[in-house]
Amino acid sequence: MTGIDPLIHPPARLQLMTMLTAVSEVEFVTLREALGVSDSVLSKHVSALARAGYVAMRKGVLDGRRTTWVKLTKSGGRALRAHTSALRALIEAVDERLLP
Amino acid sequence: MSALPSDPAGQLAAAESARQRLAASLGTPAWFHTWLGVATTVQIGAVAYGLSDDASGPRLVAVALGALFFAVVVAVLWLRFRRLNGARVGGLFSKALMGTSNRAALAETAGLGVAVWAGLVGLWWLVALASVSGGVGYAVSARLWWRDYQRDPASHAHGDSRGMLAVVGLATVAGLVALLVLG
Repeated sequence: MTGIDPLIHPPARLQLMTMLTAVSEVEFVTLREALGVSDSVLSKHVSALARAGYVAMRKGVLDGRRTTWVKLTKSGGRALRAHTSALRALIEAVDERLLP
Repeated sequence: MSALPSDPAGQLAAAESARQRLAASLGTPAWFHTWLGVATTVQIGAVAYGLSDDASGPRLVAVALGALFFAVVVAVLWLRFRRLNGARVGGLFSKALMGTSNRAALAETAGLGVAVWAGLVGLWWLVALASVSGGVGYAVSARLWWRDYQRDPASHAHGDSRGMLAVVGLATVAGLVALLVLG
């Protein structure tokens, strides 16, 4: 199916990238709590998306502790739009088959 | 090669739900809107005083102090929001704090216009009233922006570009300098 991005295909990554559209930048811990996954799971997803250039990470300090900030990149935003459009097209195709 | 999603509608709904959950988990720090309103009130009042004929001493100092107070309050509120939530929302900075939304710009401009005129004709009670009105309007517009953001975070998360904010800032400073010179 054209437009279905295998990198965003796992539901947790689709949720992660969609969540990033609600903020300019978010701390790793905040993202983990909102997504409801463990540190290691989130780290794997973020690293995979960062390697593809879909998200960007930077280290920072907040209240004296080291933090990691994550944000959606422009190419990540484009990929997300293409992926969600493909999903919607898939839904429409299924609807057309089912409806008389 | 990945397989086709078995439930695309469910995936989209879950993603949207996750975004709403994140936005709903964010909150403004205590006294956020009150401080924003106070800072705007002080800034408007300072400009009106600085441009009035009654002002003694260097009038530019009054205007500069008002602008400095506003800038400090905005910076502190921005840092407190980031610390409280572990997130940055660009739209909050530009639209709510810096007042680039139509509602905030209208409230501040109207308050400033009336306050400056009242200062020039010596109606100090009206200066106070217009300053407070401008401040309240600014704070209310920030609260309304926050409500809009919570309803539709994706459309409101990203604010104006740094270039646009720089242009707005320079235009504001240039306008104040022009008023001071002409006044």
